[in-house]
Amino acid sequence: MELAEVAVLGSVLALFLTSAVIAVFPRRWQRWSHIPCVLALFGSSIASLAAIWVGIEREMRIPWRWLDLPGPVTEVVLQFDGFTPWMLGIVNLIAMLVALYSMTYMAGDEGYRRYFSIFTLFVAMMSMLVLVGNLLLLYLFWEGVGLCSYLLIGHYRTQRASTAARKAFLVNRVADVALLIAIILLAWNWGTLNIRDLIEQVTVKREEASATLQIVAVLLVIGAMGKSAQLPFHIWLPDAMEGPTPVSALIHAATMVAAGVYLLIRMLPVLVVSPVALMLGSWVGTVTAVVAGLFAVAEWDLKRVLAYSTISQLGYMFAAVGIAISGESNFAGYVMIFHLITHALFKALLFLCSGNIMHATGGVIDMSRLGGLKNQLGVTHWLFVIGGLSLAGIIPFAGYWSKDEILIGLAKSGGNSGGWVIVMLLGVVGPLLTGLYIGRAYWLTFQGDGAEVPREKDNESLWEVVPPLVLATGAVLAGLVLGPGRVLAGGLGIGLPEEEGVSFVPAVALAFAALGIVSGMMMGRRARGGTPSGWHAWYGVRKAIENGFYFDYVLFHGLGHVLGAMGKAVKLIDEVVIDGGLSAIAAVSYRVGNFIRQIQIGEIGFYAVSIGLGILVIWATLLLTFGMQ
Amino acid sequence: MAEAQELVAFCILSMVALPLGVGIGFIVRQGSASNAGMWIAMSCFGAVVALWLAIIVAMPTVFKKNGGENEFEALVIVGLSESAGRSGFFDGVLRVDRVNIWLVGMTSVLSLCAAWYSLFGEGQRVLDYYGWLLVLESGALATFLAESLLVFYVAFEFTLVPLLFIIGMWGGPQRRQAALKFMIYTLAGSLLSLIGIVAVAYGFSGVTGRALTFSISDLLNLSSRGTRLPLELQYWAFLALAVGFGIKVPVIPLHTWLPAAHVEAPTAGSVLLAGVMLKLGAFGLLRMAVPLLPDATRVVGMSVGAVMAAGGIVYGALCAGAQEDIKRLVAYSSISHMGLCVLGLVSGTTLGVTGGVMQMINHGLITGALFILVGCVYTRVHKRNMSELGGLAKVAPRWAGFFVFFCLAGLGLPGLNGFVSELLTIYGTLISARVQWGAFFGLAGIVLSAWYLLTMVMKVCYGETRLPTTASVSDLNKGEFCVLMLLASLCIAIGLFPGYLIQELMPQSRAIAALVSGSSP
Repeated sequence: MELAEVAVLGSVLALFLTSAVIAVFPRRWQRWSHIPCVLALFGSSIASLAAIWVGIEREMRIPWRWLDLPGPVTEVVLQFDGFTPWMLGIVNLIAMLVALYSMTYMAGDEGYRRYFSIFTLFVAMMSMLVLVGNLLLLYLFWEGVGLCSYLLIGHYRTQRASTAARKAFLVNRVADVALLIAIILLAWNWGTLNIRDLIEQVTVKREEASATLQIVAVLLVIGAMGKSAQLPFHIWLPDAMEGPTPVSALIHAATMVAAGVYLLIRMLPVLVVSPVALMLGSWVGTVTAVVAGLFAVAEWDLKRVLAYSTISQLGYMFAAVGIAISGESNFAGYVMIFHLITHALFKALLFLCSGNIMHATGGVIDMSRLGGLKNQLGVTHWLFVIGGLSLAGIIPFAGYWSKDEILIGLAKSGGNSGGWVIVMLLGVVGPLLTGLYIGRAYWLTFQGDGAEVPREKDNESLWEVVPPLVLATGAVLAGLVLGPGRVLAGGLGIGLPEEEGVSFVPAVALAFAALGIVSGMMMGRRARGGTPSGWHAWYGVRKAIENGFYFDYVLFHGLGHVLGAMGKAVKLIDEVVIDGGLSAIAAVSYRVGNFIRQIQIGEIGFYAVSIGLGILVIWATLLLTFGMQ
Repeated sequence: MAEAQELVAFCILSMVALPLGVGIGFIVRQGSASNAGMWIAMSCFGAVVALWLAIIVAMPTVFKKNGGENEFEALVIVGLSESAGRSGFFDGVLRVDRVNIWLVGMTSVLSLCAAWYSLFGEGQRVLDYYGWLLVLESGALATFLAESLLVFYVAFEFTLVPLLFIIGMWGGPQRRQAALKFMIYTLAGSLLSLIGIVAVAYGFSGVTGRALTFSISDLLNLSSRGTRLPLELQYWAFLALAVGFGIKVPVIPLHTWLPAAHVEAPTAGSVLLAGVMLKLGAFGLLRMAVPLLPDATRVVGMSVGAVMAAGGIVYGALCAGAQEDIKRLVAYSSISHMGLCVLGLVSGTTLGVTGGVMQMINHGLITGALFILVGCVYTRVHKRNMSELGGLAKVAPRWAGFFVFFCLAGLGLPGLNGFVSELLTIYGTLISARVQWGAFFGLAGIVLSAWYLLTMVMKVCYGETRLPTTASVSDLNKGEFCVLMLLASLCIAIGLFPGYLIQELMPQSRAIAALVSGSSP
């Protein structure tokens, strides 16, 4: 075992341990709870960076079985491949920065200890999810990540927070059922759940691309859609804003939603067998990217804008699985993780910025009440600009390079998938919408006079600035270094296909993004005037968009009501029909008994007469039946 | 080797006899309990757990050598295999094997927890209360350990008495009706199962031409060697047994005694009712109905039985979602979870049966803990309606932590015990020959259980408290904390390291599955 491996494994174990240690901290040490967390995360970041540097690639089988199922091999397998250290690196690095940020953001919170304990557990779960090479174990940590996000979203323990937390868990659970079925089917049909063995079996025996495998592939994509908040499972993510803002940064950048994309990357060689599943993923991603962008344009809550933006960007990553249709699963994996990394950097940055805004305004995040913050929060303003430009995909910021690779890849495989529509949607409409919402959000928040903005405090404190500054550096440089510098492709060990001339797609996307930003800022300026002009004629459409096309109403509230009504109906049946029926039987026998009881009057004479009459009746009956013959 | 067997036999006998003796003593003596009395009661509960642990330790040595009797009339045999030429009315009284020992363990631990909680949580200090709890424990243990069908029946029936007293004397305001309903229901069921038991025993004696035997081991051996009752008899016997045990489980639509009894029972009663009594019915299915009547199981059990079980999963879950009273909610969730258990038992697959047995154990631990948690709230604020609670996470964080934990275990979070049995059962059902459709009900149960349990958590733990401001709510005291900690660590242990348990349960499950799915006449 190499040193880097030991370091990585040790640091993940240390994270679990740290979480437990923080959980049992004495209450008077509560305000020091962040120290073990930050230290552990620092260690794990260093370890994973070292792993990237060394470039480990191996599989470790640990002689312990979690669930001993007979057919499938369910031993614990840790799989280091090209993707693992990169994923670990981005998870731990962002988590560490967010933890540093949380120190001031969460200061004075009564649940400070609980926050950092779950926070550390969250990162540990995600790290394990990245490391394990066995689907059943992956499911364990998959749900573990879901649990931590449930607990953190509900951190403030208000009614709204708990509703949002429950929603996140339930929506994920529905998608997780798909993943669970896929796992059972794989175990049953292929006798193993080790990802590497599965890939081997599937790629070697191509002819076994049976109907079952097709179903499994589709189910895997559906499972990933839940965690990565793709349509129609996206409804949980905007509500998850009820959690503390750093938690949003964590969920959106590193620990939660990335899991779905990561599952797809891991399983790409299996998914390749099923073009249906790839098409499904690609189309769902594309539609999500566009529709979520649309929702973001109509949203007034800054954090919800960012949430929809995450959904939209994850849509890009999902759409990229379409590249694998032409068989280039490696390249698809590369662009997906590339965008995942850059997105993690700039989205965490944007969320930390919004955290600063909330602190400065005393929790106000409604953009109709914000404005003019560029004077008050000078540093945050520039950080937000960097994040926004990167998100919109403006050259040379990180977002440009990764989105560019997705578009080029899709355009190349466009002939195969018939997906030119996808390319058009992602290359033209997507950037336009992205520019629109981020430009609008920027203007509404930072420009204008902002006389009515509540002011809690001026300027940011040190630890409110340092973590986002690091992230901003990443958002500026990461794309250039990782993409054109070929660092990421080299690190992953992927030979990129030759560039066949300069594709025009990125240029078009860039142009539309720029157009979007400008129009978005204009839109924000006009909205500031109070008249949502230009929207009137489209009132119905606007309402529909503002309500997120009623997904939430129909899928969540609607289903909730249906379930509730069914429950009430069943309860009624239970109480009235089943229990009532039995009570009725009991009542009838009671009545009959009561009636018959009246014969027992206790008079010996009456009894004697009855006996005599009875004998007579019996005698007569006997006579009639036998005597007549 | 022989010493180990004697030791095990001694342990088993004392497990049944000790609580019975002490319990009867307490009941006869009556009166409020002194400290000494409480110590005796607690050490008695503790002793049973210790005896169980001793058996667990001794088990590997005993089972290395296949079976054998001993002079204590206790029978120690392995799996379904070993039994030689005994016949008679009472062939052996108790038996222990790799399956029932775990149910015994769950019973002893839950009884200890229930008693411990009653003493330190509810502050119940009446001697005969603990007497009845001890008698109940003894009866339940005897049922699980029964070797003779008649012993099984007597013990099965006998558990009614202490439970009746516990509900009827220490229950809630409607306790009389609830106790009566419970008694009539289960008595009717037991009579049916008596008919079934007698029919099975006489049937086997008729088919083999040998002397009448009530020995479960002998009958299991006969069955596993291919002796089958005539189909007609199998159907009728299965019907009698299944309805009798189904009432106890309970399978819909024979369940309406359960919510009433739970709501009125004192906490310890609820814990043992859900944790142990329901398992007696499921255990009857596992021990008798399924392996002794395999053809009937295949025909009736996999159709009607599976429909009722799978329907029960969804029915119980929907009912639970519509409840306002959290104790009723937990009661209905039991119906849902036990539906999954029965589905696994009749699935006819190794995994399904194993999952069903695991579900018995896991459900016992989780639901027992949930009832204790509900009891903790009720003793403090005398409220159980969700609309009157709320915000408890702020006032009682430890309580809320445990509440969330056990709800998560109940909804099958991987890493906790509920998931293991759910996965095994659903897997087993999905790969079964005839009840594949049942898996989808199981999966629906996974989603629905998350729905009603998390809704309960949301309404009870989060938000603003709706309790009157005068109510001062204290967090868990030390006694309650210890009990819940014990149960929680068991949940985690089974959830993370289920391997050993699965290995222990698997051989017998495999034998049962082979019987049911194997050669048909």
